[in-house]
Amino acid sequence: MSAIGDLSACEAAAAFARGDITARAAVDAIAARIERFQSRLNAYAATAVEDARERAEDLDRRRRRGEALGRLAGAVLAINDNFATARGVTACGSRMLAGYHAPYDAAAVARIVAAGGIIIGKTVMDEFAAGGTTETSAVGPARNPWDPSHTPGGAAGGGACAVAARLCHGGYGSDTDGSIRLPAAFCGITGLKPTYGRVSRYGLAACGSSLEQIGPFARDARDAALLLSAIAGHDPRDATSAPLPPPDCLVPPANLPRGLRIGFPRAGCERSCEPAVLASADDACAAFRALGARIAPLAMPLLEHAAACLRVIAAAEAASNLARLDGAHFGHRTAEKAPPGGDETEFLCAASRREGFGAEIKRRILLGTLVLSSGRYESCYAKALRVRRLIKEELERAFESCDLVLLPAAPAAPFKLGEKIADPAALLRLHVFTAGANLAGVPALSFPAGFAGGLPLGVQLLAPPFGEGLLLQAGHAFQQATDWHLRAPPGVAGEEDA
Amino acid sequence: MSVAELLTPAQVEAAARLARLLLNEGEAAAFAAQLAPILARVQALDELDTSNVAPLARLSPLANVLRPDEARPSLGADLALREAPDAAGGFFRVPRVLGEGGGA
Amino acid sequence: MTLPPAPKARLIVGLEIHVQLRTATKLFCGCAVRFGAPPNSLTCPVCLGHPGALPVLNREALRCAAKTAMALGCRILPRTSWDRKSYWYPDLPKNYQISQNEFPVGLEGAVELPRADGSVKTVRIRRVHLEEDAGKSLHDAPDATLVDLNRAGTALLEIVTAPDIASPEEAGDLAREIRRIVRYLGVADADMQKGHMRLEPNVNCAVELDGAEARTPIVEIKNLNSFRALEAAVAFEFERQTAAYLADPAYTLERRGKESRGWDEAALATFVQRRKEEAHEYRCFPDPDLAPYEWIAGELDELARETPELPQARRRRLARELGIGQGDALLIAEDRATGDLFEAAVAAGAWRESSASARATRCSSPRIGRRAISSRRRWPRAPARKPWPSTSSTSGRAWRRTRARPLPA
Repeated sequence: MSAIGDLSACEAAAAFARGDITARAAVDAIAARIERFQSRLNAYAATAVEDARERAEDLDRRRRRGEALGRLAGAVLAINDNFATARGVTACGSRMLAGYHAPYDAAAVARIVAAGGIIIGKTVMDEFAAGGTTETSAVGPARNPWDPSHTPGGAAGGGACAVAARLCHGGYGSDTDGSIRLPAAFCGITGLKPTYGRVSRYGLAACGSSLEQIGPFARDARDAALLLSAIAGHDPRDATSAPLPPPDCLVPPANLPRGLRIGFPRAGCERSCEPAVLASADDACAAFRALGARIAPLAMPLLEHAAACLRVIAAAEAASNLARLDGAHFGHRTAEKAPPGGDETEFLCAASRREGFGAEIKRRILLGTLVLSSGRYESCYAKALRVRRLIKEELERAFESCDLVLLPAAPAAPFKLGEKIADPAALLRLHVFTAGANLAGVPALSFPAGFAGGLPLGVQLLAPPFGEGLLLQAGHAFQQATDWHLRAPPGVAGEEDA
Repeated sequence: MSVAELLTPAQVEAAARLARLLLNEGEAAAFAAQLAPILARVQALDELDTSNVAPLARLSPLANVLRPDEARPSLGADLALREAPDAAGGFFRVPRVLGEGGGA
Repeated sequence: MTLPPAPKARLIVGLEIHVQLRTATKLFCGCAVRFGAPPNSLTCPVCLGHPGALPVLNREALRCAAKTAMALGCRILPRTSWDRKSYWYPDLPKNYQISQNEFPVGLEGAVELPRADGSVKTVRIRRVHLEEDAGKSLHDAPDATLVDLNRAGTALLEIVTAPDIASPEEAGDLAREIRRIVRYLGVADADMQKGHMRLEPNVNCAVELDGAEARTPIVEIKNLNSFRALEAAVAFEFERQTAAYLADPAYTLERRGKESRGWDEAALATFVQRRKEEAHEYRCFPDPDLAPYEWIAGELDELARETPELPQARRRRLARELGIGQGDALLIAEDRATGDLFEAAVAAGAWRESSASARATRCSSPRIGRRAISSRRRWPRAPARKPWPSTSSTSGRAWRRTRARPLPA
């Protein structure tokens, strides 16, 4: 039997259900791995090992009593640092909330726990999900387990790192502009951004309210299906939550549907990505062809505008969502004194925000404030909202002739930490292939499809709204025929647990 | 308009005041320079003809999402104030606000 | 010295009224709405503005808003939606207010105001919309402001009139009539003592001097809580603005635009409020968390059926059917209960014609009897309202060091 850490979430749950492993043993094994690798990889912003052990023992007791436990029972999981939890800190990667204890659990957290999942920690992310590398994290960047001098991608890079490095059986992140899919690609794992409205956002510290969804980081499509099924479904506390029950795609079929049509806007992609990335997308197409799919050319001229369009909307929403962080009701408050004669309340607020926010999120807040101001509202914000509709319609037209759309996940292979952080235009370009799905609200799956210089490359599939089933089926079929997803970072897998 | 002219430090300072964000020395100029390439990409959106296109602000196609007028449990004052940086006698405490303030 | 000819000045007032709705829970969360509860005891992650909390619209509040808008003669927009309006204040936890900017519940209505001379003045209603209320700030301590968020998130109806009001009395009467209407509908208690109704007049004047007419700046007087204060503040502004213009011809709308002033109840005067340049830069944009509402066929008809006879209609009917004079009608129809009681008494045969004016308007309803009723009989009056205690306008300057919070390494 593989080491407990090497198990996927499905395997861990199955092993637990069979009685082959105890939840307590699973937690201990994972905790030992975290202990060993955390300082090297910095995947976790916070861990809750004691809580996890207690939960595990409770699950073991209940399993011994013959109680029916949820589908995630036995799996040790990581969640993103922006999911509200009633225990522990919800810092969102920021100094502003470094000591903040939420007074409630996010809907997704409650569902993970109800399904028997054991949450062992919260993973490192870019501050308020504004970034593509985790370099804006207040607790330092997470590292790519394939080469720790490289970025794991962002914003939810810590989660992808944790799953890839077997520091959990599976994890959850949030995807505002590729923040799940990009790290999944960079870390060689599978990541899913569900359809907007598929998973409740209640308790997800909002950054891009009209853009983001919680989704799984997984070792493979099968795991992604399991992890999604535990959290998806209507929540009356989220008015944008679709009135649908959780998707019934627990075990995706092993084959592709007959005559599956996959559109690939190759010409557009070629302009925007490195040759190695394009090559892996071509290889993925070949693999799908071999499985019986038809690859059709697509024109998606609006693709190149998606990242800028999203940036405007996300900045406006972030500026608004983060205004509540003012040093008055929760979060960081400055100890500085107001200058004499000044407005003290205003100073308290402005100085707390100066201290609590990092540079990138400040830039987003400023950008958002600018585009919502009367002088630029029409030309920037309203314009972006109109372009958004065009992009959504372009995707809808694509889905008239295709069942799925294939794109690279990232325009480049993982790069070194520090390499792009001072280049805002380059960082914006990271989102060229992921932004469209957030703007249109469609589901998208990112999965490993090759390597470049020993670092993972990922490919992405998009489906029409609520087409997660088809996505996972296609991903699963691909993973039956390829083995990219089985590779593990060197020096990480296969080690016996302490 | 050159990229540098897209955003001036003065405009950044004005936005910072609106956003209640105190800037450090040199940040207005630095941020203006860093945001300018982003704004250039945003300006490129003008190439697209959106004259007959309605804005899409809400992604959910849902309408008419309501909740009944029924009371649910509140957190209670202790939990409500637990994270307050400063609280006294059951109230949040902030520096004395000048005048009557408030905009609505 | 010969005095110059007296300038003619005309008062122009538009009124913005905020009415707290009588719903069991807040507008976007399930916290109960209750007066006098211990501070911050009626709050939850949503109305406290905690990260991740989301609003969901209260169905009853929406129905109340639509009923009121219809009662005010508005056309109901087929699709109504929500916007975020940003400004900074410690009792506004999210530092934005969920309100309705682009697509309010109702537009373009009118209210009929009977005047003492028997005429009827029509005041146009610009819009009726819903928004969430802020919490309460107490500025009593010299060095701190205390914030109670129990009220934060309460459903507020905002009613905005056109600048059709031409006198302090009209302003007061319009406000009183709105109060009557919302109480008739049962959508609000409108208890002035509890601050359920907040009145903000926008006042300016047209001053005619030497054949030319100039407008003074529009002054917004914030947060008046009684009809008396409203009338006094409007009257004060009329005099102040006219005098200010006569003293300084640059005191005009073109040059100065809009100003905010507060009302000092003790001094019976308005005072300048610090106005920041960005005070009106609200950066409104559609709230992505809330779905729009599209009225379903028949829904508005149902609301209309639930609407009782409104005060003006009742007064007209009382005059027409029972010959009741204007003054009496106002009293009888002050609230539904009084009106119902009176009409029940009439139906039981207690009504008799009274004054000559009543005889002149006699109608042939068989229910009218012949016993005289004194038109001077005093109907029960509501007790005189005390003005709402004004918050102190003096600002404290002492800064107290707050507890430093350790930052992580």
